[in-house]
Amino acid sequence: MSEHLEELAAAVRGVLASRSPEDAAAPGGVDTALWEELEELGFTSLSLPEELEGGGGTLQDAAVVVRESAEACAAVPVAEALLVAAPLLAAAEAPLPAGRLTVGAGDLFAEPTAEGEWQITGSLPRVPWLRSVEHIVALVVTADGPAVAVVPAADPRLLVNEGTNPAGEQRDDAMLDGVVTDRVYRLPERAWLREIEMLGAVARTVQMAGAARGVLKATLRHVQEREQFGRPLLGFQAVQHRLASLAADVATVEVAADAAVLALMDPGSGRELAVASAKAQASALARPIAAAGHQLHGAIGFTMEHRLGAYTRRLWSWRDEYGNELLWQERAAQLVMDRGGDVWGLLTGTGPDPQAEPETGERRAPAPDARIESI
Amino acid sequence: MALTLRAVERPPAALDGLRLEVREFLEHELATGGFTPEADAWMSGIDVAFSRRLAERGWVGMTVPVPYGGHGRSALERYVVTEELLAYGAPVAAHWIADRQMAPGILRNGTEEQKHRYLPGIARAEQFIAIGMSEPDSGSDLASVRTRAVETGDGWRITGTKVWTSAAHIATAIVVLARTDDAGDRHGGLSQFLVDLPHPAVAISPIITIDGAHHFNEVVFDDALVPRTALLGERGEGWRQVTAELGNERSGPERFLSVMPLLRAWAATGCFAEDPLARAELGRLVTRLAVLRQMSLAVAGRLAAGENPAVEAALVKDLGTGFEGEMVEAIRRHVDPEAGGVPEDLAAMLAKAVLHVPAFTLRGGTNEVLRSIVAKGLSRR
Repeated sequence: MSEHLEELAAAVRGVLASRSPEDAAAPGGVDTALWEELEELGFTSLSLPEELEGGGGTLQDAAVVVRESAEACAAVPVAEALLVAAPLLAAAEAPLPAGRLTVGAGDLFAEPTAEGEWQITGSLPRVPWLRSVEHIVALVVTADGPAVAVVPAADPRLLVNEGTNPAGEQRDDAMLDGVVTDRVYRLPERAWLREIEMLGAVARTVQMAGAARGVLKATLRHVQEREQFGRPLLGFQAVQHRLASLAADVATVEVAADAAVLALMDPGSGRELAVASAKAQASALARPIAAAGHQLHGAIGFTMEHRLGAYTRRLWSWRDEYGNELLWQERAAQLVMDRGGDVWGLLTGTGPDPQAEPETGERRAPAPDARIESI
Repeated sequence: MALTLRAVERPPAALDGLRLEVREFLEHELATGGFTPEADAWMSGIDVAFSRRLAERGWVGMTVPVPYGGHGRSALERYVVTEELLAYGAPVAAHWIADRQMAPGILRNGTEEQKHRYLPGIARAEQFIAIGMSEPDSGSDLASVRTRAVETGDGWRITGTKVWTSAAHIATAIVVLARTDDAGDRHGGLSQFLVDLPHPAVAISPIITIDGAHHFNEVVFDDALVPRTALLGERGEGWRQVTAELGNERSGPERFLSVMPLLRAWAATGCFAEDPLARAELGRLVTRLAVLRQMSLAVAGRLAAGENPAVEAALVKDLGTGFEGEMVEAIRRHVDPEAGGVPEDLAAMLAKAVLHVPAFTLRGGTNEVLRSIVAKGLSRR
C-alpha cells in the first residue's frame, strides 16, 4: 500500500479507536458522535470532487476509510456515503448534503410541483440506517430521465417499515407518498440501477475485507495466547493449517476488494468482471472465514461478550446484500457468454469486443496429422 | 502481522500488444498443426522444436539481460507471455525450468563465465536445465539431502540419487543440490552445482507417471567428476540460494492456470445457453479465477520490485493449485464423457488432466508445507 494510503488508514484508525465496540451486540443505530467527527475531518466527503465541496480523493482513498471503519465495526454509513452516494452525486454534479446520509434505489418517480419543487413517490427496499440518517441520496426517474434526489428522511410522507440484518444493522423499507424536495439533479442516461448495484457490491466487499481482517487478527491473537495441553494452540499443526487457510481466504477477499475498487476507477474493460468476481468471492468466503474464526476461538467466540461475533455477524449479513455469490457468478457467466465463450479473453480483458458480431461458437478442428515432435 | 497482498492495477495496456502478438503466434501454430493443446503442458509437454520456435520470437530467456544473450524484458512482460502459453496449453516443458528458475538463479549466483556459458543457450532454447533437488529419502524435507560433493584436487566428485527430475532426459545440464560440508546447522553445508549432461558417470532413467507419460526421471550420480567451475554460487550457501529460487518457482501463473486449456475448451462448447447448472459452474470458476489471477499478479509485482514475498507466494500457490484440481472435477461433472456427444479433443484433454491432478498440490512444495510456512509467517510478524 502506498505511503499516502497508509497515512490515511492510520488517521482514520485514530478517530475510530475509541468508538469501536468491545462485544458482538447489535448497534443501536448510527453512532452520531462518530459520524460528526468523521464528517468534520472530511472523511465522509472524501471521494466527492473538490468542486462539489468534497475532498477530491479517489475511490481508493474512500475504500481505505470504509475498510478501516468495517474493521472497527463502526456504526456509521461511510460505505454508503463514500462508495455509492458520492459517485452517484458526482455523476449528477450534485453537492453532498451535510449530515448523516444513506443511499437508496428502488422505483421512485419524481415530478415537478407547481411551486417549482419536486414530489417523489414510490418505494425503497432495505435502506441502510434509514431511521438514523437525515438524508437519503436516492435514484429517481423523472419524465426527462434518471436523476438523483436528496430525500429528507424525516418527512412525514415517508413511511418506514423497520428491519435489521443479522448483524443488527438497520435495514428499513421506505414508502414515499409525495415526499417533497427542492430539486433533483439530472443524471446522464445509463443503467443506473445496475450501476448502483455494482457500487453497492464493491462497498460491501470492501467492508467484508475489513471484517475478515478483524477475524484473522482476533483469531491469531487467540491461538497465540490460549493454552491447552500445556502449550499455545498455535503449537498444534492442525491449528496452524486452519489458521493458514483462514489467512488465505482473508487475503483473497482483500485482493478482490482492492481489484474491484481499482477497476471502478478504470473506465476500460474488466470493470464488470472485477466487481462480479469480488462480490462473488467475498460472499462465498464469508462462511469459511467465519467458520475458521469460530472454530479456532472455541465457545468463547460465540458469546455476545466477545468481539468475534461483531465481525462474523457482519460477514453473514453483508454477503447477501447487493447480491450474493450466486447472483454475481451468474453475471460473470453471462459475461463469458457475451463473448461467445471466450473465457480467456474475458479474464485478460483482451480479444474481440463483445459488442462486435457474435462468434459462431464453432470449435477449431485439430489438423488431421497434427503430430507434435516429442523427444 | 504484516501478511498483506494488495491488488495491482491491470497490466498496462502497452502489454496488450505483446499479449496479442503471442496469441497470434499460438493461433498460427494451432492452425498449422504446430501443437495440440493440453492441460498441464508446462510440466509434461516436452517439444524441443516448439521451444526453439518460441525462442526465435524472443520469448525464451526474456528477462535475461542482452549482454548474456537474453532480451532484457521486464518480469511483467514475461508474465504476460507465460500466461498466454499456459492458456493455450502449449508444450513448453523443455525450456520451462531453465527459463523460470535456473536463468534467474545463474544470474544471481553464477560467475561471469557461467553466465556466458549457459544463458545465451537458454535464451536460444538450446540449453535445457533440469533441477536435482528431491531424493528418494528427501521430499518435503529438502535439507535432509544425502547427495554429497567431495572436493578433489581438480574439482568435485558427486555421488547420490535425485528423483522427480523433470525433463532431465533432454536436459543439457542439471543443477544439483549436494552436501559439501558437515555443518552444525542442517541448512548449512549445502551447495549447488551445474553439471553438464550427458555425463559418463550420471545415469538418467525414466520414472513413468500414472498417465503413462515420461517427464520425470531418476538421476544417479556415481562418483561423477565435475570441474571446480561447476560450483554455482558459494560453497555452503546452497540452502539460501535454493530458497531464493523458490520465489520464482512458486509464484508463476502456472500455479493456477495449468488447466486453463480445459476450461477454454469447455467454454467453447457453448453449452451454457441451455444448461443453467453449467452456467452456474462456469460463473463460479470464472469469478474464482479472476481473483486468483489478481493474487498471482500481486505476488509477481512484489517479486519484480525486488522483494522476496515467500509467505505470500506460498499462500497463493496453496490456493491456486488447490483450485486447479477443483476446476478439473467441476468440468468433469458437466462434460461426462459417458454421456456421449463430447468433442473428442475435450474428452481427451479431460482424461489426461484427471491423471495430472495429484501432482498439482505436491510439486514445488506440498500444500501442507506451504501452510506451515504461512502459519509461521503469520506468527513471526
